[in-house]
Amino acid sequence: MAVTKIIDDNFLSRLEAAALYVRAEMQGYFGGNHKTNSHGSTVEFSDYQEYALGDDIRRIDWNLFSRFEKYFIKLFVDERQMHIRIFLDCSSSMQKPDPGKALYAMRLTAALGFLAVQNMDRTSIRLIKGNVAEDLCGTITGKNAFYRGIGKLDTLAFAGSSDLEKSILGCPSAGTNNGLTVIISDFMTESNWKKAVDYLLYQKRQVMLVQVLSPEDVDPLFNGRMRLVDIEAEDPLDERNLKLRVTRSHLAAYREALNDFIGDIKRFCSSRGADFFSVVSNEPIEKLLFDRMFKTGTVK
Amino acid sequence: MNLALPLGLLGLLSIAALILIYIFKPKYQDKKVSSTYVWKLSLQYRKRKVPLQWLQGSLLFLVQVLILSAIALAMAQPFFVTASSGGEKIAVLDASASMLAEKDGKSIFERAKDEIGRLAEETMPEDKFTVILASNEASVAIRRSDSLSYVKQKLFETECGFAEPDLDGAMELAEGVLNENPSAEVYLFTDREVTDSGSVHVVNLSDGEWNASVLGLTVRRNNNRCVFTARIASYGAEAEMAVKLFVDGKEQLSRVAVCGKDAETEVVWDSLDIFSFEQARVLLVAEDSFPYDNEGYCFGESAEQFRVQYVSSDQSFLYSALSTTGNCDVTLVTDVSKAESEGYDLYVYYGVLPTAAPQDGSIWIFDPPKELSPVFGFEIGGKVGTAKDTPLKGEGGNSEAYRSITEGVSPSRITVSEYSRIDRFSEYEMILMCGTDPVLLARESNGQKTVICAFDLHMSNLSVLPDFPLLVYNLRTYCLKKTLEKTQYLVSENVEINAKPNADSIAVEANLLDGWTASWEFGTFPVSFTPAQPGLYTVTQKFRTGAQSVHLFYAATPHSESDFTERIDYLNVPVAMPGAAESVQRTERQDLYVYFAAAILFLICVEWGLQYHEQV
Repeated sequence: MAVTKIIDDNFLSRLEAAALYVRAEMQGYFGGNHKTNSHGSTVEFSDYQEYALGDDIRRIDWNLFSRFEKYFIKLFVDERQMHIRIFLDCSSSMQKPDPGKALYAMRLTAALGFLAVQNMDRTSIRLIKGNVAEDLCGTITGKNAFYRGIGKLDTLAFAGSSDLEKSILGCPSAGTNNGLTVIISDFMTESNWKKAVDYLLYQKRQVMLVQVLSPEDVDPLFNGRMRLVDIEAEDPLDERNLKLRVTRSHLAAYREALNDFIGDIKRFCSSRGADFFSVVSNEPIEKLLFDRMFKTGTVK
Repeated sequence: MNLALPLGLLGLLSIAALILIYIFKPKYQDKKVSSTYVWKLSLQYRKRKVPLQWLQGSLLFLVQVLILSAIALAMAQPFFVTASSGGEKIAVLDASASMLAEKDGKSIFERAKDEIGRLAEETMPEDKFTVILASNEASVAIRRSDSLSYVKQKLFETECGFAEPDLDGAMELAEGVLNENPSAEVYLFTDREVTDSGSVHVVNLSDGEWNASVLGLTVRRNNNRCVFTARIASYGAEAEMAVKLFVDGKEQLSRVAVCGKDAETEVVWDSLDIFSFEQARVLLVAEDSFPYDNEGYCFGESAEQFRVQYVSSDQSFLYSALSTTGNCDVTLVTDVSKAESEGYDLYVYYGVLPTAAPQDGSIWIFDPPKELSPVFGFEIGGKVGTAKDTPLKGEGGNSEAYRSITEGVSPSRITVSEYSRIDRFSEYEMILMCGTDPVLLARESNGQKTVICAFDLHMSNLSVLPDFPLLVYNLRTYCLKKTLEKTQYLVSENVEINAKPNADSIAVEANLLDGWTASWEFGTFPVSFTPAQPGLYTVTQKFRTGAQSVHLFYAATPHSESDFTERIDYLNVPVAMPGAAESVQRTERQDLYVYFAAAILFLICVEWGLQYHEQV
């Protein structure tokens, strides 16, 4: 199913009313729509400041002078343009055996990209394939560029394995404190992606992790004697493949392990001030965007 | 186990198929998952492996093999050839007195008959049934019958005895049946515990019965007064009971006896002004289970009189000796031609012989003349003189006659100076000898006893010796028999009633428990009578003269029957003779379909459970 078909007019009209929240300490570029901690030349009043030599005398508030016989100048809120960077895990585990994960991830990528451009931010999409993060369509500014760039997602192939750590650390434009970085993956990898997150935080990026799982990842429906073949393991003798007698108790252990795994990511993100969302691909994407992200303030 | 269709076992080949399936089927099914990362993590969350888990893995296979085996066996139509659940039975019924103990109005014997009836119902008509009655003499009541109605009829007619059971005899009879069918089962229905019953199935039907018993009544004299002592016992329970004493029909002062469980006690009447009596009776007033031993008797000391005809030309030492004996009524006849030949207990001929032998009584012949001696079965050869101090000697031997006559007598002290030599005495037994000649002989012919003394007492020192009264006493004891040897008998003990020489008839009358009476009359003597029940028996002899004499005796139950605690320590377990008949045990085919179906169903459930467990 084409991504463009999924993001229909009705969905877009709802997205137009929303915007991604970016923390105020971000710097960004001029011309954006995000309020920052710095003072600028908008019409929105921010604060007073005692006049100092060199200040623009046109900003002196004469009403205050009449009261206090001191000079105060008026400060105004500054608004900046942010750069939203989206890293999309393109390993085969995102598409096989359940293509729903990949579709969900692509839709989410598109939705977040739309939220960015419609809020006058710049966005770029990096596809994590192997050890590299390929640029999908460069930096997107404006909706026309967005529609052109996002159309490439239709032909996107999910294959092979991916290394979040190496690809993000090796990315030449991981960004600075000028916006939000979103990593969309299932995070079921031996790769030390935490190191990549720490790196982004070190670069003063605002980080959000979205874990996309398939329904079978959450609740496996098979049992019996199974040889579990990792979809990313091309060699049948790969160590990642497992021989198991899957029983009800084993399934319970799996669920417990999965919960602990998700909890571990959640704790990590919480300790680093990053946002984290774990979603199942059969859930409506609107629920994530307009419910869970709204509640956490990630989308406003 | 037998198989009606052995070809069904070919179904076992399916086990080989199962093994092949296990060999060739892929053990693990490939399943592609997006990542095994969490699965690897989950391994740490699994519970520790339990020991023998390898067995769990094989258990499913084993159960499947069992299912296939069971199906194959079921196809082969298995069956058992089993003995009949009944089989031939031999019921040995204890018919001793103690089986008459009652509880709730029903005796143990009746309960035993009911049990035997039920056993017969289970056994017949498929199998034969035998009932052996173990009364004082074991007998076969029903032998290998297959008619239930006949068995029930015979059981109804069977009555219990009052004696001890002849269990050994009963087991011998059972052995006879076992020789015909060695597989027959033997049951003993009794009221006693059996220590070692072997292969005999003992059915103890006692149910807490208890018994108060009179073990005996004795009398002794104290200052010429009679002191009565009754020995009382209680078996199975403690008891306090009244003890009544009747002397010659008159009730005396009652006593209360307190008797511990399985213990004896004595009740003494020592202050009665009774100097003589004929009959004393003690009676227990107790509500026990067995009333047949609640009374006892003892009798007075009246001596029985004997009639003696003494034929001699003059009175001798012997006449004096007999006359001074209190219980001999001696009639002296000096003319042998006038002597009676019947009607006396003892005929004494001293120096003479009658022309015909007496028809009744015993005969003593002293110093017989040569004439007429063949009438008595001997011949006199002539007089023999001996050296003055020739002592006699005993012939020896172990005969009853020798022992009775010479008891306490020293033949060597007796000397004889002259005696008649007896030449022919083939029917007689030699008792005393003088040299090589017999001088004292005895015989018993057709119940009549004859003693010959071949010398005149005047030609011997015997009459002045203390051996003389002893010898006379011994001869009396040997020849004169009392009508009854004793006054106390046990039930089923043989009572010899010795009729008097002129007795015409003897009547025996029994006074049994609860006022029941029974009587028997006998015209031929001697009488051998066996009391079948406990009670007081009166023996009345009617003489030809019209006179009569009365004698009493009491028949009691054996003490072992009164003692309910007594056990049967050894049972002569019947065993079929080697080479006895082949077992004729009834067999029947018992199909095992149902059991195999149940087993298959059960195994399928187990297999299902294991499959489920495998999955979960």
